[in-house]
Amino acid sequence: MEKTTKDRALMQALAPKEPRQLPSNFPYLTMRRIKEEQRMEEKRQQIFAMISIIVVSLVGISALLFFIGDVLWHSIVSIFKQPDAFALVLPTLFCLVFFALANHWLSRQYQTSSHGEGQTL
Amino acid sequence: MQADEKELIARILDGHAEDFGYFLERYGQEAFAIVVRLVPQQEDAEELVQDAFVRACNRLETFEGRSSFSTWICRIAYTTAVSWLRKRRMKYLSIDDQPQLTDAEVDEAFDDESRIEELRCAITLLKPDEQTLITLYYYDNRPLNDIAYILDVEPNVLATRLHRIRRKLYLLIKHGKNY
Repeated sequence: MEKTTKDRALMQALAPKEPRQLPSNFPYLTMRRIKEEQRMEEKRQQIFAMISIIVVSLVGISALLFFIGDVLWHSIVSIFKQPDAFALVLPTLFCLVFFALANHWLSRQYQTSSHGEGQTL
Repeated sequence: MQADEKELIARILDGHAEDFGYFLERYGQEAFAIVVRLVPQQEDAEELVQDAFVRACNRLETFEGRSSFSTWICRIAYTTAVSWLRKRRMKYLSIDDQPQLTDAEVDEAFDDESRIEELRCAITLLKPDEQTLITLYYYDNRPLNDIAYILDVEPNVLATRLHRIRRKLYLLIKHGKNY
């Protein structure tokens, strides 16, 4: 369709009566919302990952108990019947607890430092 | 699209979300101009433009560069505003065309500067896609291909639509809302 030079009234009617502007803080507010939504999305993914890990672990443990539960139980009972066995079990348990705590502390440290870098707004 | 904008998009996709501020600064007002015509309340329009930019940022990887970023964001802003209006179930006039109406009559009415106010009122009664089409075409002087992309229609149907909208506007200013 050819544009005519005649549509003067239409052009003027289409022009806004008073110019309407976005507020000057629009980019700031929108960036804040984008960051917030990204954080929420990260959280959602973390929760989803955690639920998946729990479900997979439960399924795995249940399968172990179902298939070799009896054998495991007898092994544990036989270990506890021999006092020498504690020399091996106790340090192993201690190491497990130590590494679990260290892992928790390190991941917290990593999260704190990565959030610090991301706060540029 | 400018080369530096492509680089910026690549950086944003690489995790530098803060660079998206450039697009907000540069194209915010343009997207707002489209939305504010359809959604008269300033606050609602601002929120919808914000929604459009958040959506654009979240789906930035789908931007293929076939259009300019400006056209792409205008399309998102337009669809956001239209879905908002749809949810609100806004009513618009739909008018059956009158075959006996001549183009000369319509042209004459659109050149008559005493009818600006009537035309303004008539424009508000058009459907959102019609309002956007005539604004982008007559007021913003956008190329037909860009308009077709924003409205998600084939470019070859725009001429017919523009013709129909002109006739509809004429009938509205002639007979008023009660037509």
